[in-house]
Amino acid sequence: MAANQAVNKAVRWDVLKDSEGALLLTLHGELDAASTPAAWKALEKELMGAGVSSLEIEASHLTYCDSAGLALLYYLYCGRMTPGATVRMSGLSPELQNLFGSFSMEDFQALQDHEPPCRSFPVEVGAATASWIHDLREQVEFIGEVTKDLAASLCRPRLMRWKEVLRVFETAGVNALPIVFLITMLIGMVIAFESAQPLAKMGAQVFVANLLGLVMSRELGPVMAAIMLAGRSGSAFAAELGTMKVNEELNALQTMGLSPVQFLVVQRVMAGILLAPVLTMYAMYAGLVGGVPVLLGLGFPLRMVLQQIQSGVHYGDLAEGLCKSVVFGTIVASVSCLRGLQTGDGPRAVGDSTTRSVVSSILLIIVADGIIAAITYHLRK
Amino acid sequence: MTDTADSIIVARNLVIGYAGKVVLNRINFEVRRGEVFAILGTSGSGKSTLLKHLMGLYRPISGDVLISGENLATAEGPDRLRILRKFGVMYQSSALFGSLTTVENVRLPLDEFTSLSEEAKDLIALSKLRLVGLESAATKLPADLSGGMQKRAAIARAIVLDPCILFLDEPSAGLDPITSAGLDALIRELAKGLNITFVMVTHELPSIYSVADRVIVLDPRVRGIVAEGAPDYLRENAVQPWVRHFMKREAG
Repeated sequence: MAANQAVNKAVRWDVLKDSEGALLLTLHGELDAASTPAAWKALEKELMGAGVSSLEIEASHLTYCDSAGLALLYYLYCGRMTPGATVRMSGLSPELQNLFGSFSMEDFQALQDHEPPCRSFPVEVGAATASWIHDLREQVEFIGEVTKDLAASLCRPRLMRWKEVLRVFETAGVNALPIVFLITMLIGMVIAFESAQPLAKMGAQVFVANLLGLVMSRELGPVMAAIMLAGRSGSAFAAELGTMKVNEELNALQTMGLSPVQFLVVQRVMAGILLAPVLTMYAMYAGLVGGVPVLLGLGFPLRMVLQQIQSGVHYGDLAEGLCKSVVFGTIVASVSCLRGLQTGDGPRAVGDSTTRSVVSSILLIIVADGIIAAITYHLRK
Repeated sequence: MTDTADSIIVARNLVIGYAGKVVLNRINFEVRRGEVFAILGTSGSGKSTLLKHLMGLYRPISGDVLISGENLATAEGPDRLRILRKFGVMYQSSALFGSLTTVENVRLPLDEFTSLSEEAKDLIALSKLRLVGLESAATKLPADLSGGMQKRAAIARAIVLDPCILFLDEPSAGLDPITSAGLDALIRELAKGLNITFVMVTHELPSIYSVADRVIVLDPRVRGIVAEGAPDYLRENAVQPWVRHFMKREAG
């Protein structure tokens, strides 16, 4: 039986099969990465189940053959398309023969049999719990170390690298002013719009000003400033420290006898503590700047709006907002630095620690906000 | 310098630099098919910048980079891609993807650029790993490989698409002398067995004497090539004394 197959212009083959199932396969043309996939499929279809008892591959008519072509020849040679048949091959040039020798069915089989380690559910749960406890322990140790080093720096201000504090203050604070202003102004505007209608139903539209003042000073000013600090600067802290960890700069500090916490973290935490109240004050006023025009648009005179805000917001409310902001600033700076220091190996680890810094910071901000709200509620009673 | 039919890379009146600063001015050289060609020079002489221009990462300010007669400096779109497909590159840092196993790293170009079956891709990737002596580390992650093994894996990935030219950026950087000698032997073996042209940038003089057929020496003071030839020849006969000192690793 003779057959002539042309899969494409580059490669073709002749098949000669006798009655006893011995098959001679003669390949012609170029067997490369472009022509091999189609040839592979066509040959597999033709040879599988064709009852071949012996296969002889004649490769001397090939004008070009690359690794892809050799892979096909090797696959044929190992009898993967003609199970049970004896296979012989001839006609490979000495150079190709050399390369052909680098193929190994043992390696291939080992790779096919290799299964990535798969852990059972209880093992996964156990590992996750152990990791959680380890993380908690690290956090407690870190809080202790930061507190100790911060106290030491405050007692001996010469120890603090104030230039670094100023740099962080500028990048995390001054450069964040436009975005903090834009977002809190829009939030102030939205609150004024959203509350105007329900209060109007009760004839209390003028109290929108009181509401705005209270919400911005006690809740949204500190929370929004802290969330923006976490998203904009906390992530930067984590990425910066994480990259230093990946580049082994932290190891370099340790071998020089410098503590990464003392050298890098304390400045950022200090900047966070000082920065958060400033950003919060700014956010409070930006919120009012957004809300007041809405009230003016509703027909209230400016003097009346300002009087309402003054009567609604007391120093205690401002103090509460600022106290919250100090707590939030400490949380954001220290958690972000911790996540940065916990970075693993490789560039992906930096991305992971950045994400974890933002998620942990925002979570802890909300938890702390809830605790402070409960405490102040009971104090006011 | 005249282009010969034997030349696989020809740099003609090449002016290269960045940010408006000329690093190398009007340089001419050619790389012959199948040879191991090394670019030498002191730190800051523009070796790596030249290599990046030869492999098409940057475009020259002026001049031509002819790859098998086609000008990479002006090629666009599919023509440029066709030329780039002739290259394999091994970066100084190995540049293996940390989240992929060694065999997956080597397979990656096959996954991206061919429509071969899974079996064929695995077979080819494993054959390249066997060529560099890493078949037993196929399922390991790059982080679990030593520096020398990472370099070998990077070479396996660079040759998986059967390139005509392999660019090596500081192949022996950071390796101990024995591992470095092993890598040199591998480069020699591959150059001989696979008929690939190697273009390498290196500081390691033992590597150069061991593997390079010809070298060019760059001098930042003249912003150009000051010597060209076989490394053993230049060591004794280079016109500039500092090139002889450089090749003998003597303070000049």
